[in-house]
Amino acid sequence: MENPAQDGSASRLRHVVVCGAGLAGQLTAAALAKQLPKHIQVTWLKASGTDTRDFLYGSVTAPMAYDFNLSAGVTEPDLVLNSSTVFSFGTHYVGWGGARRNWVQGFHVPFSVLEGVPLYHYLLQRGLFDIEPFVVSAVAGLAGKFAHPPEDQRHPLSRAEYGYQFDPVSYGALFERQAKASVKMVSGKIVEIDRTGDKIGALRLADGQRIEADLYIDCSGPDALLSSQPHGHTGRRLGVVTSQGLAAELGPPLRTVTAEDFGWSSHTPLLDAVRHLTVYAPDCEDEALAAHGETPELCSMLDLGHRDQAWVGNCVAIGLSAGAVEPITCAPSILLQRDIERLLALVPVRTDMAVERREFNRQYVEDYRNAELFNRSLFVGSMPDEPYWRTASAEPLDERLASKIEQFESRGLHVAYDLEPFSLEDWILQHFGMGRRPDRYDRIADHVPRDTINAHLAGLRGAIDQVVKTMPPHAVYRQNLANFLRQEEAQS
Amino acid sequence: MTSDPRPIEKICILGGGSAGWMAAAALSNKLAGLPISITLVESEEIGTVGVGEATLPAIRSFNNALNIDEAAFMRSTEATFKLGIEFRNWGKIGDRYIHPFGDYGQDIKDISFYQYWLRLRQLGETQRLDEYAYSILAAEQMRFRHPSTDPRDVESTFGYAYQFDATLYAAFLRQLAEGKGVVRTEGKVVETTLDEGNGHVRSITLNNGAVVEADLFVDCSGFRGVLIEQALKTGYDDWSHWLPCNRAVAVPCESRGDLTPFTRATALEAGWQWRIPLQHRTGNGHVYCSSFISDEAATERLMGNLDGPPLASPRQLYFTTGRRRMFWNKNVVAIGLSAGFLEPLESTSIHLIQEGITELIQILPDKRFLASDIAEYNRRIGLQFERVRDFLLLHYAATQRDDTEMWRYFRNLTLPDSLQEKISAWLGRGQLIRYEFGVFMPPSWVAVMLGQNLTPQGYDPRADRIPAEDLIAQAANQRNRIRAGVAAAPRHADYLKQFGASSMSAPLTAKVE
Repeated sequence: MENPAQDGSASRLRHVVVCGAGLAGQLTAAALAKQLPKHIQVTWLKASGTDTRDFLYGSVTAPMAYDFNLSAGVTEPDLVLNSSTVFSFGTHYVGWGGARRNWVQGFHVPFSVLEGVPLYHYLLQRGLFDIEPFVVSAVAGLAGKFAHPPEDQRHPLSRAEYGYQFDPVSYGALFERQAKASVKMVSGKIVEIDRTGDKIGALRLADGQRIEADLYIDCSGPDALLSSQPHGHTGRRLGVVTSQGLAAELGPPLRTVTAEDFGWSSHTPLLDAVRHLTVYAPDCEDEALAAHGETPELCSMLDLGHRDQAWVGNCVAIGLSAGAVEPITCAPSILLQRDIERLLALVPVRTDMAVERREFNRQYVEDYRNAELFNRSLFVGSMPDEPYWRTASAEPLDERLASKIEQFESRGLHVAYDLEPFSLEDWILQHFGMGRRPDRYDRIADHVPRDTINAHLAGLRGAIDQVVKTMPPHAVYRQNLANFLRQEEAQS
Repeated sequence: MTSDPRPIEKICILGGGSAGWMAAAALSNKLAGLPISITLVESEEIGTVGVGEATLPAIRSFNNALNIDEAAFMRSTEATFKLGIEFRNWGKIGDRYIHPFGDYGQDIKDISFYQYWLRLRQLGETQRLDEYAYSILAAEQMRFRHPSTDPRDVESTFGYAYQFDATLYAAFLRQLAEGKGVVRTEGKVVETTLDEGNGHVRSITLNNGAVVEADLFVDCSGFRGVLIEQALKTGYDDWSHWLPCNRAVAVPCESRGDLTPFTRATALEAGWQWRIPLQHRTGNGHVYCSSFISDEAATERLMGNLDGPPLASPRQLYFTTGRRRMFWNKNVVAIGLSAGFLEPLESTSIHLIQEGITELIQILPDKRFLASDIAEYNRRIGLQFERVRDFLLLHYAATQRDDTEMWRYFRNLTLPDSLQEKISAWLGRGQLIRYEFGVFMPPSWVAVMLGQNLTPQGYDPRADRIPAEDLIAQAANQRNRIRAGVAAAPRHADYLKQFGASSMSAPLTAKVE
């Protein structure tokens, strides 16, 4: 095999332009500013104000947000001191599906393993179909308690992980501040896009400016302003409204998602506030708005689905420009983050970017497909006979999801595909939550003496109860943390 | 019968080579205390392939799960430590590189070190990437020590495996398995009885008249696939188009010179030659393609290329690269050579056995033998086989050689898309397309691609974030730490003794001189 000769027509990548004012633009601009070397110039084209549809990303991040934020230059103390962001141990689903089930979808590091068999098989062996008492993030979340999980793995709380409950405006502002320090800002409205085939040659702005770059990042939200391709709407259309109410005291580190006939509503505690989101089948708008109560601050239709390719020519779509998934789990914020990470890993070396584009699109389709499995799985089983639930459960079932459910129900086995956004723990907690009951458990569990298992389970449960008792309420913990950080700041 | 949800009670393992006894040892250990009986049927008349076997680091977790004492196991199997594989003459004649068990350098700002190395080259630095790999330097200097568990130590950055006598390993595992209740039955299969209803194997009849019934049969009968193929006619996917080598000739020889802590694979005109150092002898073999060389010429090539006098007459092996269409069909699970064959260029034979056993334990069936269980097992093992296949093919594809008909064959070959994309992404920017389920992780791909002269044109732009002088200093520091660490490590042969792993047997010598 010969190394291919250098393509004479391609030159080094010099200039990237990010378009879009919202959360996707803020996170992307900050991450590029922090991660790219100086010889690649980043321009951020941003209309004034904020994107009004960022609420469609939902209001909870997954635990991986911590590392991502750091890589974009935003620290946790910054979030605590300068935004309404609070901690999140997961999502509490209430009255879900036909059986009106309740469970906490807690963030959790890998389950403990006894004799090579993961914990939950021992619960199945005993006919215990409630896993919640053994999941420290769930127990603490329901009790309204929070503390940072310690590193010492013997500590029961070390099994918990946490994400953030956020309001896109104050969260995104921190990334914007970070980005502004090192990217070139341009404000204005795009009136024309010069294209040759798939390739964007330049953007023309209302004030006459012409912006030319090697790579264009489309963070303009669902309109995907730079895209030359049709949106990949493949799924349902939903109505979404949101508003924010004041709260005298910070609520639990859990988002609550409550099933309703028309769809669902969620309450996300934030600092001094609660974010309300109502999602409904378009046929049921009146009921949904009546149930929402407060006057919606923002509303939008959400067309679910993703494209065949998010990177076309020299333009990469990120976040809602790339695809829309229902904010019923933290999937939208995971996908936004993965879109940006995928871009960072594949920022082209040269203006000939065919290889990067193919690889980006391959990973993009896998990520969206795999994330959609987790959302779709919430509608497998008995569902209410109402339009929202009927259409959701009538969506086609991906063979991967069919295998996952079949194997869990058959023998409690987790079927995994390469580099999925949701972990084994996420899936197992969802299966338990949805009331899926395996016919069998791992027989290796039978060779552990019953006394050993009893002692292990009782010990784990007792340790969790004990540690949760000693944890402070979420509000107190966050307040104390903020005070401590302020003191530190003052001293330094 | 297929609707019986009761747990299986009887397992029969057919074949007592390394696959059979590995399966017997692992199953008897994992299923201890459960009402499941395990019988292993083998015949002393049927030889095993046992020519000396090189392994991958995952073998250690297999042994650990069996609570095997490492020094005792090494003494019993004439084992040596293995830090990687040395490849000679692959990119072009005269080249050599080591595919190490371990990583290259420490990540900087979450970016793999090799990306910075690509930048360092453009800055005019000339050190080999190998200078950042503890395992490579140690291998080159014939040194070994166990890795450290403290992640701050440079000695924590490598892994290791073993080279051992597979026949002795099987015997060692036999003791363990019999200790856990596995019953060994001597005999050759003369008849297989299938269930008239569902076509499952109900029993096998042996040449001594014994009839062995079981719920689950594990077919470790080697290339022949007595149950999976001869009885169930499962079918075989032939991969010879991609990996055309189809024969091998093997011979042990006297050990000479330093005890190398690595296996060697030397590319030849119509295949390649392995060299596996054990404590008492050195295993050798020539893997070749019969379209490009005769058996006589292949044997001659091998015999002219030994370290010392041969210890036996050369043995001939025949195979077809590929995989069984279903590894698990009805109530038969094929593990080992009966499951498929991939040439031992990257020491994957024992590893694929291990994967087969691990997944079988995860997906242990009940008497229904559900189609969903079988499908999931086959999906998992199929992915392993395919990913190993791509990695092996890389060795033949990433080359400038065109000196013989075989090398010209590879130059004209259209690669599988999965491999072609990986090579393209690598050549452009040193990007490695990752997967989660597969044995060879990014450092292995880096080793082979760079070792065979696939040099990326560019590198990850993020590697430009740190100033050149800082990078040069950090790199020098990493090299110095590794060099100092390796210099302090004992010689491989000394370490074996010191660790208590030396076998009692004297080195073998040729009888006729």
